Amino acid sequence: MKGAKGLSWGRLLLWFFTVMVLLYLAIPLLVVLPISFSSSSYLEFPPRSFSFQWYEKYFFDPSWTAATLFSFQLGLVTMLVASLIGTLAAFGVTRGRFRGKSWFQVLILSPMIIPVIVISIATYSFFAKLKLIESFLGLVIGHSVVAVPFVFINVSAALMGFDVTLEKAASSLGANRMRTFLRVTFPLIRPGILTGALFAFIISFDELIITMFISGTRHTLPVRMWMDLWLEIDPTIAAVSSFLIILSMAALLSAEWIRRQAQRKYDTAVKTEEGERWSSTTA
Amino acid sequence: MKDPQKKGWRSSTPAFYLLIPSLALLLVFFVVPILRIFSLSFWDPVFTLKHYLRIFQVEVYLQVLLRTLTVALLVSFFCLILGYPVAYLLAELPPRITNILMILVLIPLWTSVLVRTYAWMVLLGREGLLNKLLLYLQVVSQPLSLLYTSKAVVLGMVQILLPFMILPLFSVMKGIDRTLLRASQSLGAGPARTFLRVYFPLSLPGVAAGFILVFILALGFFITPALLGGRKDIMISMLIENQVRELLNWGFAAALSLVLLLITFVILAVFHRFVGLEKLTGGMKLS
Repeated sequence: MKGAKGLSWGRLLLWFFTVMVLLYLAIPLLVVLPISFSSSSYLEFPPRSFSFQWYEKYFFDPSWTAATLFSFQLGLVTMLVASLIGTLAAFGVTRGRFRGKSWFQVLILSPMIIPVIVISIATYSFFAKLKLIESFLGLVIGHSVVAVPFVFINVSAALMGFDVTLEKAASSLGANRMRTFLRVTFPLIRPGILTGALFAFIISFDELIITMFISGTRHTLPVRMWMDLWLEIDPTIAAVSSFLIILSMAALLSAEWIRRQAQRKYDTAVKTEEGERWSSTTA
Repeated sequence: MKDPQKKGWRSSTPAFYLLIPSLALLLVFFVVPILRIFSLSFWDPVFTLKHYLRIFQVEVYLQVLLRTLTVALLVSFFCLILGYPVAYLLAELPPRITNILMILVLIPLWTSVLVRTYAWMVLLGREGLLNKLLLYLQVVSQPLSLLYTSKAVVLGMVQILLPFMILPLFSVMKGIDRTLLRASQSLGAGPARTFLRVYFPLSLPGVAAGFILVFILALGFFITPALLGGRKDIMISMLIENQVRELLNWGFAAALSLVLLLITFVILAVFHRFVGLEKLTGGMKLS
């Protein structure tokens, strides 16, 4: 083919460009992970020799561990609350027919779009009035507002790609509504809910700005980091950051794994169905 | 049962009730607080427009507003330049390879903004890695001042927001009908012409979605400009934070917030009119 050579040069250039951009995206990992193992007290790269001292400092400093545990608690509770509320909302929107549906969608997604600083000062002023500053409940509420949209999007997507005839089949075969939900609907949308829940956890675990305003003296991990970043940067923060990076990667890979499991299940289901249809028509 | 169609799950379940928890949460803890601070911007303690006049009359504040818009525009522009070819390649490759490369786009997206900003501080500081490298290679004799500049802010923000450009671009490009490209080629158009006249126009909704998404997110950015920027690089979010935390000037902070929100809404409304908001959420299905 004419121009094939020129095409492949273009292709090569495109690949080169893409690899460079992906490297740029990966910079935080490439910088933070090695530094967290450095042996010197100031930042150097590449680190001359390895040590775990910054991890020791992180894991044995009560203020860091307390902040980490607090973030975990908050993240888990927010995850539960946001998953429940977001899943119900996704059901209501995909299954219901009512006026103002698109307005509701705009409302539930808007915490993703509205600048966090606006949400933060609004929540701060409101919570001060309600005496919710520095309370666990206040933090859960604040984090849920920004976490719910992510659950809503993921569960809605799962429900959208869902074959409603399956539910009809179950109920026509005599299953009541509860049973239909538990045995048919829930297993099919579980991947969407789990992914949404993972998102909710990470959103809450990494949330800084709202938390900074309403957490008072109880520090979450990001707030503790933020305060240190203004004082002095020692590699303890690199160790904490590496921990956060690994946590995010674990969450992402789980989400990815869930998605592929679901995809595989779906593919085999479609194949068997086609196979059965085929055998029944030939029989 | 008279009519099984009508008696189905769909109509017999009052689906609206399922929305009550989310509606309650959002109305009480999201809409009401925001409306409350907006009233603060107009009543202080009687009706006044002084906070708004201050934004547009005091030069420093106008500059902050202008700087915020400029930075957001620059960041969106660079994200587009970097993101378009990447999304193009990802949409072309076989799914197996795309999946692997996509993970490399998603990992940073899931990594905390604070962590990613910290990495840039480590990299760009006076005693930072880049300066050490440049000194070692004797490219420079004095460490460069890279951190606490507007360049550092843009560099960091582009890195952080780039996935929000790549994802909507990718999802639109993935949907482009390949037969149109073959048709164009078979009618005698070269690859360049096919790209310019067929592919690029078809990818424009993705370009618009990515651009708007990055722009809007960049407008409200706080962590990265606060940590990477200098004293001169204050953006509107930092100004709002400062007014509330240091000066307790709620009325002015609220007015700034309303201006920020209005800009966001106007952009979204225009986008919705010409492209459609659902294109944005298409990019937000983040895994």
